[in-house]
Amino acid sequence: MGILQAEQITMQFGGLTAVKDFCLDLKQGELAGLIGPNGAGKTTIFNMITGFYKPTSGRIYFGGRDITGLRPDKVVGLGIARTFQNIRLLANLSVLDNVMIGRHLHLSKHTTFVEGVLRLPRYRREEESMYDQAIRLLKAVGLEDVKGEKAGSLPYGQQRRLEIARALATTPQLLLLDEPAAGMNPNETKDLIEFIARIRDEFDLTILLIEHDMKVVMGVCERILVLDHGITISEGTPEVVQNDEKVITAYLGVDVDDVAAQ
Amino acid sequence: MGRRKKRLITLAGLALLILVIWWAQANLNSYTLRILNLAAINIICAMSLNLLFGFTGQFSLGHAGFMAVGAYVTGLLILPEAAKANIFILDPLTWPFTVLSAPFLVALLAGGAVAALIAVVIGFPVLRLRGDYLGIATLGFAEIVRVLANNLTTVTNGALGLKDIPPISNLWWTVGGAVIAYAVIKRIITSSYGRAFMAIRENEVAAEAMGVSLVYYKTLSFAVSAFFAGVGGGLMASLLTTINPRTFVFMLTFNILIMVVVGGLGSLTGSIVAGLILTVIMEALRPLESPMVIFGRYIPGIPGMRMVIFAIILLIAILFLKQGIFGQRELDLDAMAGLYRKARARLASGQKESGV
Repeated sequence: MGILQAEQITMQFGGLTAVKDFCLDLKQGELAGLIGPNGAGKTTIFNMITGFYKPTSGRIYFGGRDITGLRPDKVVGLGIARTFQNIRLLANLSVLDNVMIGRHLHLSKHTTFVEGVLRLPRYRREEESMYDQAIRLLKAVGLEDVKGEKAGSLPYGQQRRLEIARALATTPQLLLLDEPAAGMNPNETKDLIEFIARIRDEFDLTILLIEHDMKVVMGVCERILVLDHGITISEGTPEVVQNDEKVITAYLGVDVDDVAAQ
Repeated sequence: MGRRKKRLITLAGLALLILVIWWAQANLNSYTLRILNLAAINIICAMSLNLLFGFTGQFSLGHAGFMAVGAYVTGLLILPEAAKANIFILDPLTWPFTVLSAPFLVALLAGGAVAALIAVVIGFPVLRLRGDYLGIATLGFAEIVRVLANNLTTVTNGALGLKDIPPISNLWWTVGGAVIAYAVIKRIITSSYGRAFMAIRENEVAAEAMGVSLVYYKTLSFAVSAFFAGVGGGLMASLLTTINPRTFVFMLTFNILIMVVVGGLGSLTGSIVAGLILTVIMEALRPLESPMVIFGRYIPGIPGMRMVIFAIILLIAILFLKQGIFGQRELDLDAMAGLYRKARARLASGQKESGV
């Protein structure tokens, strides 16, 4: 059995069906991609998995446990971390603080608010190990030199990497990346492809990513799901998906002459 | 700067503060002392509001409500039994308030604790709201407290309020309270929990996605903020010796909010500086309301004139210092050491250039 199962999850906003009967079975250690035209419902699926939306119907299981409709902060605690399509860093806080906040949920399991205010030994130990781990992560993503800078002042590519580092700080088993290559130039994209493959091995992760950049999707994903208007229209290895008529139609549309001929 | 050096300077600063308070209590007249005491209380309340608004990003207009709760609880606990019998003429005070009494310190802590408890209870529904809506809801809370104080005559003595509250508050209590409040809030915001507060301020969605429970941390911040507001209210009750529902009108919240904004949202030392300056200015402007002669013309006293001037000063302050005096910066020992190094470096390079 895989690490994450989505069983026919559907999300309706009033009369609009954003996602319909979406099914997914992610295997441990897999690197899967979710693609589809704008408005296909990809981010909605992320929001359902991470608890920001409660599916209208269907259930989601993580490691065998039903997590449907669980609050986002609880879902992270169980081991699902995510990044956002439009970067959501804590802009006025330092790069280091941004990563350390990802460790807070582990710190707060072992110590209390009062211990924190009084700086009792147990809290100090936790804080120190939190700091060490944050520094290690910053080294891993190559942001150690800018740890004191405000997160909002970093260049775009670094902000993306910082968001991934912050997600990693929560020690997830499953990482959801929402358009990690958006706004990157070809060089940065190339680095990103290597980076994603590297962190999967280094941190023993299962990764699901949404991406429009086909170079990234075809370059790293072992399995691809194609979504259009909330419906999964194709699924398989990059080669299979690339040659699927339905996918080509969804992305490029249909030639008027072809339709007439039918 | 080293930890030991910092601790040494802090201790020296505290010793100096003790000397100043000792001197002030002995030599200053009661009017000046009253202003200094008020400033210290305002600073406590401003720092506590800053924790909620400046650091956690939750806009609250309910501070007068929490101060009222603290003031009434403290007042009822330190009033001697005989005095209570004298005050509650129209409607007798209900048991157990007639017999409950406590030393000042315990009474202050109780006032803060009750305020914090109420914050937890109302925070649960109210903190789901954001921005202006939260402000309006908390303003509603403060008004409810005031209306209750007016009508719960068997506990609060209604519009007559409490009088003859023992005047225990002095600079030792008020400045001491401010020092403790600063130390506690400073330690909160520099801890991992404070980082969680600031994460909520910066981006609620991101904070939640990083495992920060919005309900828990907003309520926690609200409760700590209410606690210190309650303590501030208790100190105020004993300083003024008379409290009634009119003491805790919206103006009180407004004044404290101004101190927070002028000092800088997210700067504790900013709240301290602004709290001191604004309290003093408010008093210094008082002569404007008395009759005066300008260019040979007699002008009768205009009540409220100082608020007009005060508002103009505020407008200018906000226009030129959009983020308040300090913004999100702090003027603590580290910052001062930095300034000192910079000044010395500039001095040294200046000497070199002039060839001295």
